[in-house]
Amino acid sequence: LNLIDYELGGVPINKILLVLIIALAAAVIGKSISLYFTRLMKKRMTRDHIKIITKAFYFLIFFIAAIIVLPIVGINASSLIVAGGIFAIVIGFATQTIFGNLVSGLFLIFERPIKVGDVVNIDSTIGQVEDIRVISTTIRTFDGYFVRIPNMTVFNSKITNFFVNKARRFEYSVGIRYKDDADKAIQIIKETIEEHPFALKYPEPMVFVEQLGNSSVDITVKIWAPFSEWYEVRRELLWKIKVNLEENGIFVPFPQREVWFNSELVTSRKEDA
Amino acid sequence: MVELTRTLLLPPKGSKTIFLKFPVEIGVILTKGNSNRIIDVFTEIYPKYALYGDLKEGILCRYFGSDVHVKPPKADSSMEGIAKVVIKNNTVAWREVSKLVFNGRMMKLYYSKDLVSFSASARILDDEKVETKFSDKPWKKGQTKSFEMITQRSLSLPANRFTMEGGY
Repeated sequence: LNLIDYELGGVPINKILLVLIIALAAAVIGKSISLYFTRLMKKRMTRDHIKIITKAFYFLIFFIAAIIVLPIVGINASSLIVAGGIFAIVIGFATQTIFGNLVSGLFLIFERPIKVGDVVNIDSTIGQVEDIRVISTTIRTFDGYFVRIPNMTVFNSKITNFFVNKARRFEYSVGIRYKDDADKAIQIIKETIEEHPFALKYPEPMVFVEQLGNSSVDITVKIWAPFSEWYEVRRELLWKIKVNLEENGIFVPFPQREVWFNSELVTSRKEDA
Repeated sequence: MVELTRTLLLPPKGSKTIFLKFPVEIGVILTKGNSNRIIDVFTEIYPKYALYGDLKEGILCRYFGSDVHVKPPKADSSMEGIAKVVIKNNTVAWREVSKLVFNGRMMKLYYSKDLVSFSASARILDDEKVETKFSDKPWKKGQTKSFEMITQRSLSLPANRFTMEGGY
């Protein structure tokens, strides 16, 4: 019995077998690439992202297989490609933004400038990254808002990631009166910083006289804190510094201006009636 | 991180045994059969933290300053413990040691009525690296091993070791 001579629905069996073999090969290649990619990216990407990219690979391989198979079953692929091309241009114009976001999303997944859980500033939106999807990135701001940013905006914006480093520095400018002892004030500020557990010992905090201002001697205070505690430390220490300085007779002055009169100013005091 | 108040100078291939103080934390643990639950952990020493290493790859660690003693110093065991550390200079140059960093998670802590202790070693490997390692035995006989909050098996870390790669 020669199977090759048989036909099924007008298509020779050998062609059907060839199509099946190509389809099988496409499935095997697609699966192999998916497995290899999953293994390669397991530690670098989330499971969801790996799934999306492997699916894209899978469809791409099947698309190529379909292009190969069409002439075998008697369909002219070139006419389909031309028609498909025109259709693709129309769809391309219509979905330009979506496609841009998609490509940006894939670049974000590969480049990984941000991760889920990071505190970031993207396009003047500050918050914690909730999710990075293929089309958009979701951020939860500290006011409790959920902000969805298209990936193209994320990709083209200046991104500040506050979670990349283990510690973060902040600074205050503390003004004291000219008659106060600046060395004593510096000592008090250093002691106040020392008392706070999360004001890091290393990198060392810096406290110094920055400038002689119009109304005050301005002391700059630079403190490092763990990135997770940064805001709390900044919030707590400023008031503690103020209170400790005042307890030691050092005060933050009001803006002052001395006025000199060219001619003597005659003043008189009126007693209360 | 234990910062030494005096820098220790070690000759090439030299070795020195020192005693340091470290802060003690007291844990309240509920035990039933083989399972343990930590209710609370407190300390009488006010905590302070420091970053060891660079900003990106460094480690945030508990900071403590200690004098260097050649004999075990006196300490209030509810607040401070005493560590015996054998420092070995494996290099052929004179080395100065000003701080030691231990992996607190893998600490082998022992206690008795009047002393909390651990025994450790520190090997100077080059001009940047020191490897610190806890010993499985207390330096004073008759002490009881404290409860380990994290077992080594669950961490898959090299046995009791920590490599200080950001200088010493």
